[in-house]
Amino acid sequence: MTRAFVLLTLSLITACASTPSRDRGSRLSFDSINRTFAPDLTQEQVLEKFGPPDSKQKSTANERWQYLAPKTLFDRAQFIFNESKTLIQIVWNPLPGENEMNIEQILKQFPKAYFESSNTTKVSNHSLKSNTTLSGESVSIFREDSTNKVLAVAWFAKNH
Amino acid sequence: MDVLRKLLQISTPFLLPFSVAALDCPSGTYHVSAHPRKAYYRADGTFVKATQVSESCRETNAVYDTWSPILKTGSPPNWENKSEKPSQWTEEQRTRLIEALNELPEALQRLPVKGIYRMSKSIFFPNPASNDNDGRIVLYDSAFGQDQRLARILAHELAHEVFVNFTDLDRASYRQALGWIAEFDPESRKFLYKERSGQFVKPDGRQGPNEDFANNLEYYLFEAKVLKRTTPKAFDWISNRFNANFRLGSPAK
Repeated sequence: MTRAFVLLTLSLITACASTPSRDRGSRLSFDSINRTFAPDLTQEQVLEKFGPPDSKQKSTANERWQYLAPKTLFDRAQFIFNESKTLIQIVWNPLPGENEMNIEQILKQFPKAYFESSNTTKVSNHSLKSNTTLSGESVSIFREDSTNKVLAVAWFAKNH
Repeated sequence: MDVLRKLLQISTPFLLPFSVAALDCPSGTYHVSAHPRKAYYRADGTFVKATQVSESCRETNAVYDTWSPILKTGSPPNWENKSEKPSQWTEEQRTRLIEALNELPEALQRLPVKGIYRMSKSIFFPNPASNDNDGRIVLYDSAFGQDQRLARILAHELAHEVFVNFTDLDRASYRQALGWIAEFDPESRKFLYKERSGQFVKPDGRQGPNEDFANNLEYYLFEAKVLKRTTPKAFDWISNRFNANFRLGSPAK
């Protein structure tokens, strides 16, 4: 009886603990971020939509909130706020297995946008392997050219 | 006697077509023509003296069968360093390349490389080698210098291909383990990797996870103690990712 009670309690604790994690995973999906980004969002609104970040870094000019992916702890998203604590940028990283790692898939999400290859960086002086930034008006995409995979997507306020 | 030897050395290139025809190599072997060989170092640091190599038949193996067809001449397609000039493979260089590849772990020998090209001089001289976005490697004259370990140069270039051929999960896992994060600068509209914390075995590893990984894999094979001391997270990650056989092997058969 006691053993059954302990097992039941443990499973309830596990269920409760894993729910927010799963919930936050879906909150930080591409669609969710793409729908949400607006340059005047406040920290309170971000907290309400995405919950507390895993870490915060403050510098003189801005504040950076980092969200990690559940389980793997991969860098999922970074929210950057200006001195007035309003959102100026989100950098979002697709996770392995997500469709958004596919460059064509990402480009389809912005049918009206025009992207130009604004910067191609070699991985070193002696390697022609490169990463390219595809720049749009308020969204940019970071592509690993040798794999043709998306490394990150940034939404940013035009005036910052 | 000396006069005769000198005469033989001078005339060797002219005699080559005849000597090829003279030695009929049986199935399962390949022909190595006589050639002068400069001194060099093997992967394990063994010094090999300069000598005149005799014509012989050597046993083929998986490394020879895989790599000899992809030793290419000319420039790789769409090679961006236009001022770099193609060079020719010599018998000595082909033989040394196969020997060096034989010394590397099987995981590197099996990579889907499209071609190894010979070019004379890097625009970043004395850089010994380079690679492109599409699985092609270039070896410059300096890769075959006496002080260079060809196996180490190859290990570094192949490490770039390892990184590209990893699964998305592997690459993400490496970036996470080492702390590489992509950042966007809205002023310049450029994405760049923020330099990770910790030390680097080579300064150019600061440029991003791909070069960092290539350097770390090279050191894992050739100077493991340095890597373990400098970048223990990379040492642990590589140890966990590859099996116990991921180490330097015996010289060319």
